[in-house]
Amino acid sequence: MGGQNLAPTGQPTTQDLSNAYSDLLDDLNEAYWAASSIDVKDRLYGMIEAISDVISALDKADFESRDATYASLAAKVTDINKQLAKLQTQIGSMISRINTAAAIVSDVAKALTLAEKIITAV
Amino acid sequence: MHTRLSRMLLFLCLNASIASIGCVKQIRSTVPAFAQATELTSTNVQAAFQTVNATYIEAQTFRYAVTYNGEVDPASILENWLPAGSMDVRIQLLQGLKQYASELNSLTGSNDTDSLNKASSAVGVSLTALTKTAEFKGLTSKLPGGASDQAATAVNAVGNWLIESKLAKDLPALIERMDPSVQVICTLLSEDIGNVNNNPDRPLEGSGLRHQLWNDYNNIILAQNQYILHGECVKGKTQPNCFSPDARLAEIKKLPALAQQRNTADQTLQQVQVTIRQLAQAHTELVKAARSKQHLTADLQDLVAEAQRLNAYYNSLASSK
Repeated sequence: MGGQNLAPTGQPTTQDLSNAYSDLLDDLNEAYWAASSIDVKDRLYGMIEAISDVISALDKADFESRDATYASLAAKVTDINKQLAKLQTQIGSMISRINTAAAIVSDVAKALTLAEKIITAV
Repeated sequence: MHTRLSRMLLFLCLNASIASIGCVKQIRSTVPAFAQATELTSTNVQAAFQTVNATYIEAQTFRYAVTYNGEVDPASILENWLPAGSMDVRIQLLQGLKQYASELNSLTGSNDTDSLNKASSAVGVSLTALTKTAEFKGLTSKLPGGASDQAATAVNAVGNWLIESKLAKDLPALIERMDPSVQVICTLLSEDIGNVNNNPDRPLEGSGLRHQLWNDYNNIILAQNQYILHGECVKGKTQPNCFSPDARLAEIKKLPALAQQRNTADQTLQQVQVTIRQLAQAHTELVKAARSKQHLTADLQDLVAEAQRLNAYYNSLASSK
């Protein structure tokens, strides 16, 4: 039921947050397949798995009663956001494709901003 | 003059009656196909949910194996993506739809309908109770404006329809009364299937079952790749358990096969979504046929054939596990 969750006009929805994490996931996937070192792939893989967990929880929250799932969702988002803030500063040295690195930095900023608005508003 | 007018009126009445009987006949000949399509589509929707839950657990298990460090309790990875409560709401809705179609079908036939009536009443009672549950409110909470109230009204209407006694001669009116409810329930089910890959620039954005399934397959593909990379033999290094050339090739070949499986699974979900929409359309066509004596424009045989094909796909998945 994506994109239709209730939020006051102008307020971002959980679908917006899911989209922001999905965009980040897309760019991280691209970076993963482009990376030539196993160490970098391992780090990106860990990040991708953690973001997938959050997206999965957001999709699930869309199917369930909101109150029941938000507590665990908020914890997951807080945790991944800490890792993302760190990734934002390190991504330039991890991957060589400048455009992908820049896209990831921008995706992270968007996801962090939306998460802050949505998770604290719940 | 009086006699001529009487004859004319009699002629008009007879024509109207014949047309009306023809219309009921038209509906009656179509209802069995509609019932079959509803039964199959409902079963397919349920199978779609089960497939997404199973793929989620498969992805979790693969990840568990690839990142295994002996510190995570395996019980923690066996939880379904969609919990039992949320799944039950959908199953009851689908059961309601199936029961409605069975009832319609029985009203067009001459079978003894006693046992069917009892079953329908039971489903009807559970449907009217369903709308008061937290899980149902969760299901409809994402709908905009007053649509969640509309959904509750629709499900209640189907429940009450199943409970009350019906007469075959009222068939067109019975179908017409249920159309708004059938439309709302089909919309809810179609929204559950969701979307992914709608935007070529942002392919991973999406929602619902398709979004979840796509991401699960991507996770399985990445886990498989990690497994290959960490099992590679490194020149000059002693690694007793690294891949032989044949084993390596076999593992690498699984990657495109997984991508193909992902695409097929997603296309199947899309088709299930299409059949839900076609089912809603077919019901509206039944109403139109009842109202205006038109022939049905929806091709129910095509819908039944497609629903059967999807059903066979999900059965093959179940039997291969």
